[in-house]
Amino acid sequence: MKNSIATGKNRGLKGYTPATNIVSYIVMVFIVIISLFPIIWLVISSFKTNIEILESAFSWPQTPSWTGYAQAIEISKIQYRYITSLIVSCSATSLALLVFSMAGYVLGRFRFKGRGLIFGVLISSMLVPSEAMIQPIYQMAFILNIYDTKFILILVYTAFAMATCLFLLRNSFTDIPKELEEAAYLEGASFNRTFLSVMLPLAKPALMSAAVLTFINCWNELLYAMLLTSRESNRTLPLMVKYFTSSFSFNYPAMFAALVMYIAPSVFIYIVLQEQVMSSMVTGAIKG
Amino acid sequence: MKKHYTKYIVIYLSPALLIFALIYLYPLLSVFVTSFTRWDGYSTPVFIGLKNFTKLFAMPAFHNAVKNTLIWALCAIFIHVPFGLCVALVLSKKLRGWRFCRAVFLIPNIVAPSAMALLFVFIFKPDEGILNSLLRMIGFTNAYNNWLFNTATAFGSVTMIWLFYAAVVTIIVLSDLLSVSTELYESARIDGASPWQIDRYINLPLLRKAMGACIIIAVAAVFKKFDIIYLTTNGGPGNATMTLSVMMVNAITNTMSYGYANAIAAVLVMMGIFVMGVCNRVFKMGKSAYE
Repeated sequence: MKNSIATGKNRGLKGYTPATNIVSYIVMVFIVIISLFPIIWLVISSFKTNIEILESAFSWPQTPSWTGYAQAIEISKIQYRYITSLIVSCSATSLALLVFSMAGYVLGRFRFKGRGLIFGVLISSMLVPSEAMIQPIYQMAFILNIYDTKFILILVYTAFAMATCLFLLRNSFTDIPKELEEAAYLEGASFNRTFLSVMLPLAKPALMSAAVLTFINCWNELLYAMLLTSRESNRTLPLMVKYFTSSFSFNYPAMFAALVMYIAPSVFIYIVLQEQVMSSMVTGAIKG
Repeated sequence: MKKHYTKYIVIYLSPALLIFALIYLYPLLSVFVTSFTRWDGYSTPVFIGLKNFTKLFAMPAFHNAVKNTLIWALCAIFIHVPFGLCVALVLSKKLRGWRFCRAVFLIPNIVAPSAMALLFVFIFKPDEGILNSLLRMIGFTNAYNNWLFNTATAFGSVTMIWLFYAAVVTIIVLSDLLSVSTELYESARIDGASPWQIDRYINLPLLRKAMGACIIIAVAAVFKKFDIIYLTTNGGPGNATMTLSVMMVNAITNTMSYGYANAIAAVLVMMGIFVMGVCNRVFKMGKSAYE
């Protein structure tokens, strides 16, 4: 124990016995395996042929083949779904940021009657399992004549981002010093102007966190996309997943290739914007 | 001046309130009202009192769905969250590679649940599946169990798809742990406390509040696990992995009995609120021990 203090082998807290370190490393190796193994296995298998996959789950591809990818694109027209998914996810994220930063700004910085109540009611939306509302929303889509459009998906996904976005953005607006706002007003800036060019830029970290989390949730959503759209041009990527379970269950390379293409953007965004993802999860959790 | 602001407050709040009314308030009201009717979505709903609920409560699928949800909630509280906590305690020691571990652990939570589901369908296949291949490799030569479609193993298999992916818990707890001042640890060390004693007597009491939040989040997530069940077993075999949301979606897509589907939805919402309320009472434990 003394030894490790002297040599500073431990980079964090000093004074661990080798046994403690071994247990800790076992835990760390375990979580790396359960987290990475399925994904890496998926990527490797997407380059194998169907026969290779059926023969052995653990072999390397003899010669890496792109046929899985070619077939995935040919069978499921994945490129169109990519575009649909991108349009829906980006629009919903932008709309959510706009609407909830406006609401978060007012709720975070102005005292008025019913402020706490409105915030509480809007935040309580997080307690509702979104699946439960599928039938009325389906019905409403028909009534408003927006069934099978990208717009209904954008609207629904924006609403689903409400609790997280409001929470992150309101807190961030509350923390901005009052002087900055007052200075803007003294210089004669209007309410809108102050919000857009003074407050919004200051809330940038929170906006980023909210954006990343919202985008990933939209990108991954399955049930509403499945029931609120029917035309091929409005089908998003996760529905292709469903398609592969039913019609091409024995074309594994194509299925794996499609899965790789589906998860690549969200994993990529996560790798680039890790800090934002983690901070949004922590901030969102504080109030439970 | 004040009036001037009032106008803007209304303008700035109304889009959010409109979206809330449209996508939360109206659907929830509609769910509860139509749950007392027989309705196919086209004709006028017919009020039938509690018939949907009595029919539902008599269904074996419903009993299984409630039982499964409660078991999953218990798994979330007693396995998922403690596991995430242990990982956080380990990572907080900042051994070599802890940042990498933390980053990697979150990946399964970022990947779409539907993609994870499909991947695990393959892992659990009887012949070419990864799990059985692995078992055969280490000597269980007759490992050909169809994990997801064998009544005995389906529930456990589906549970394994999420049980140990507790990165959200880890990240929340870890951010709390890393904000504890190192002086506290130093003085404990000077007093001769072992690392495990530090975890037991300093870290755990400090984490009570974060743990409460994690439990609420994990239990709320149990009520939202639709994708992985729907794409792996669709509630089967029998009703071994049935959940209320799968029952509800099947009632909508297969039989178009919307009143009945909304009765299930109503139970889902009420049960969610009830279980969450209980967790809040039992586990929130008020303030952190050192406050």
